[in-house]
Amino acid sequence: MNTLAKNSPPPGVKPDLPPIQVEELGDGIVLAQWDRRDRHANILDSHTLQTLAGHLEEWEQRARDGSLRGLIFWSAKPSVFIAGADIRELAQASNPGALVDLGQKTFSRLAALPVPTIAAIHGVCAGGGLELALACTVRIASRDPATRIGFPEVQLGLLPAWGGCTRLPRLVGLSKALAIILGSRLYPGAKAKRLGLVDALVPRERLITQAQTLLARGSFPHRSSHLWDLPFAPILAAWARRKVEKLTGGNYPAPLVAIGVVTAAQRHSISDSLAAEKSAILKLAATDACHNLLRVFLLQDRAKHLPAPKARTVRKTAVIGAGVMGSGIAQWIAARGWPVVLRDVGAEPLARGLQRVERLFSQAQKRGLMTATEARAARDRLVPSAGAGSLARVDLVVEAAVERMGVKKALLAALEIGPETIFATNTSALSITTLAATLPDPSRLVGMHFFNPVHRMKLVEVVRTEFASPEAVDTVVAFTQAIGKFPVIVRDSPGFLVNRLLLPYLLEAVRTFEGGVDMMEIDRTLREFGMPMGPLRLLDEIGLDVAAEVGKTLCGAFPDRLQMPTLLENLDPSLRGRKSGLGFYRYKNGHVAGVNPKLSNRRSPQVAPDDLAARLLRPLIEEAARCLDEKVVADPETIDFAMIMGTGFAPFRGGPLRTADAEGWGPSGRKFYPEEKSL
Amino acid sequence: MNRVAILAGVRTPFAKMGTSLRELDAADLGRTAVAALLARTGVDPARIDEVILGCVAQPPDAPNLARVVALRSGIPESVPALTVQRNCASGLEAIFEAARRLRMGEGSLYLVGGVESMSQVPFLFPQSAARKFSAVAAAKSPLQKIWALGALRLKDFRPVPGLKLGLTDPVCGLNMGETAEVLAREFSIGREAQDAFALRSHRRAAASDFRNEITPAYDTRHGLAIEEDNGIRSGQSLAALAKLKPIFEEETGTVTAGNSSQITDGAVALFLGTDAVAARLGLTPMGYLTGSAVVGCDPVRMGMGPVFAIQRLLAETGLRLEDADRVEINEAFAVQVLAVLQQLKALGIGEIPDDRLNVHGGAIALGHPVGATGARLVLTALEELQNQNLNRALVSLCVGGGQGAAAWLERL
Repeated sequence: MNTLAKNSPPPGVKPDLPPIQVEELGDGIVLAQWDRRDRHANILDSHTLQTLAGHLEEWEQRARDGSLRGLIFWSAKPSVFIAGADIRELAQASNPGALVDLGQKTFSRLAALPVPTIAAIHGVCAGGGLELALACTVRIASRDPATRIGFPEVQLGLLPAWGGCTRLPRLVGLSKALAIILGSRLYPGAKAKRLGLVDALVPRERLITQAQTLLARGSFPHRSSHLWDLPFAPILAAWARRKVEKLTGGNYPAPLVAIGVVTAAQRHSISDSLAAEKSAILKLAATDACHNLLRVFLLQDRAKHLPAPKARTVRKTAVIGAGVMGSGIAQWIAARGWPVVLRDVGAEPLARGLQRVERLFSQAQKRGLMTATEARAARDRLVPSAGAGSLARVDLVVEAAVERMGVKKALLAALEIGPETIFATNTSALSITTLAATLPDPSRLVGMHFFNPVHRMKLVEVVRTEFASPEAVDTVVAFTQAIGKFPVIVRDSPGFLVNRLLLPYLLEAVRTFEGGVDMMEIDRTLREFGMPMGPLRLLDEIGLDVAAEVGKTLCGAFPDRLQMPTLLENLDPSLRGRKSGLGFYRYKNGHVAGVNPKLSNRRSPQVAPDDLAARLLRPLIEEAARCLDEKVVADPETIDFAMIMGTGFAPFRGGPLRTADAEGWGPSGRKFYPEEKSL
Repeated sequence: MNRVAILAGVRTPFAKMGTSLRELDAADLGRTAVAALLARTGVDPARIDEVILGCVAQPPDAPNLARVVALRSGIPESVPALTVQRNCASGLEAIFEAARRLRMGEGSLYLVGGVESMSQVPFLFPQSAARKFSAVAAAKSPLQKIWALGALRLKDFRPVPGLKLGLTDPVCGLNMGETAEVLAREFSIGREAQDAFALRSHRRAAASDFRNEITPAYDTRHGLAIEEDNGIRSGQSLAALAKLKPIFEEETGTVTAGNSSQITDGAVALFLGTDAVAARLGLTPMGYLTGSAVVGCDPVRMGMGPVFAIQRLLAETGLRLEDADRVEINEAFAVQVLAVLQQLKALGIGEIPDDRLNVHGGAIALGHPVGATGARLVLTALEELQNQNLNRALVSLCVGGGQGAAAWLERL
């Protein structure tokens, strides 16, 4: 049986090949292999579930007559077991209830099979895939970094409704079930085993044989049902609710609804609990929050698969500048598997950068994101280089040096690079077009704008000039995808996209503050609106000096509509925000310790206007409209996606343009999304 | 037979044990030097035929240190690696190993050198303890384990510094410093002469510019760049040296910490190859290895090693001591170098003029990372020949356990 050699066939293979192939292993053991031929991943759409139901019909019959003694599920895909439900089908279903019923009933039938069933998991096993595995008697998984198991539904504004909320607490207990479902993450194999999601880890090559051995042995772990959780359920539920409310401010219904369903699951019969799952998900699926979160998920998918046909393979990279951004970029690239030379002008700035890199690796190791061996290998990929030296064999150079045109020009001119090397610049303030014009070959310069901190922010603005060649742009897009970031393509213009939209909002907030409104009230209002932090706190986070620099650039570029507020114009050098301990707020050990009294006492207090959020966001939205009209980006989805991923703009609102449509804040009543467009 | 060319070389700064390089283990140090050599020369690592590094302490967590360093420096796994150990001459031995292969036409490009982290030599449990711990691990039931634990005594927990063991010759029972005192007595070399030689080493080193051969090392935990050797005392004086107490022989001894080599961390990496490969890689040879000799001698008088090695080398190559424009004799101890000079003269082998000997100081000022020093002497000698436009250098080291090694380097 040569299942390991099978790779997904190229696209164009007939989609009507059955998604499940059944093989007799002898002795009444059946192997059901999942392999959606027309896709890279196995997902559970209604067609697949119906196919499974058809097989179940046959298996129930064979179980009755004794010719079926055991069932093994596994996947032929190289790195996916089952990636979950078909999100698009769910989003577009005219009768979502029917889809929920189909999944619940099919998995219940699987759980009811009188013979032992084993899920042999290698690769991603998420959402519906995990629900299928939970309906099996036993779960074994491969000891492989590709194996990741969990329930991501809550992140999408939904909850597991194919039996996940019902079966998980019975399997692992209430507190772990809550952590897993609310956590909305995918766990690697070892962690999944510790949580009780899988019973054993084996090398990938041994999954099937081990499943057969377990079936032959015939004895399976006794499951306890964890009924002793019942008395603690209300306490756990209340504690979880408090935590969720603190984190989400009541803007995200899904986690709260999930808490209700999961904590009630053990109290009720399985069928009652399944009914509760169904009613919960139908309720959630109708919410705007869910629609917007699903859109974000699909936009992430779009960014991941943005076509880049002319991309060249990047094997070796270099990062110029070992400052905060440069060291963060270099560490990320090395952690993702690419050799990177980190260069700076001298050994001392390099040493400081290497210390930042080392801290990032230590953190990643401590949080279990990398094993010690992986971290060692990643550290070794990063080679420090002080001063000069040829970079001729480097395919991509990322420049993250000082934000001064003269310095960057001189730097790029002096670099010894190969004839095909692509330059990417991380500049956020300077004109890439101007920089490109100084190069002998301007077609090789593209903007690659990362966000701070690099290890947390997944957005990268890929900025193209009129000179940039399609190869250069595609290479940067493809590399961005390869290192696990989301690219958005932006035309070179002041502030690119995110900063250009963010600054008017931030400056308006400062002006409102200067006008007398209390700073904590401003920030609270916008947090309640759904922003991860208020605008003044965000300015402190970015750094007031950095914000002032970007502000100057943008005000200089758009003097007709942007002016620097007095506070930022004459910025006191000690006032740099969180990094200097003092900004709008005071900071102690990096945490907010109160407002900055010097700023608070200056003007006569004013009451905040009722429409504060609208006032601050209108300039952002107007600027977004201009970006669309000037074709800085291709479509409104890009803007919403970029603002959510780059600034944390309330994801449940779907981004600034969705918000504008929903609240009627578009300039002159403009609607950014035509009515008919659904997901 | 092919000529053996030294094509390029680089070293980390040398730092006294327990100071700026102590956070880097031997593999880190080796990687620093090797990565820098690759970056400086632009050589594609896939072209290397083998990596051969000297290392005395051989860290337990990096078996075959050369292999660990090679893989961690991005050298492809298809390139084999070998770690050699001839005590203090390990760095030179690595060069000899590659040279033998090159002369025979086996391969054309070798990455060689030496590494030592004396800061990270482990402390060891006595063998009695090791046996008892094994017994505990092998015991099956909890009761048996408790019984096995009961065999442990307090003395089983007293750790022995591995470094101390490594610097003692088990055959004659003397540590390195004690062998130096033997020479002091037998050659009647007094404290003042030794201190004067030590001062010379510091003065010469302080007046030298090693920036060309050094590549920075990084302590990433503390965010520090280490760019300089830190053993050199530019303000060293006879008065300061006179204050130190002898450490290997109480009361009557003459060898002190000040007139001995320092215990140091460091690494050196060099490319050795044929003329043909040099041309292909666009590298100009720094010089050629034109003679080598290794001899055994009395472990009690190991410091005499260079005398016999030089004797053998001169006999085999037909050259004379006067033919050396520069001489590097490793300064394991001031008294050891002085004794060697005396004996070379006494045996009629020759006299080494003061202005040709260790012109940039030596291990007394720079330190002696035992596995690396042999390679450093070669690098320093070649840099000196290039800078002064001279032709021939003689490099020699004494070796703990009673050996000597010597080599001719020429610019041709």
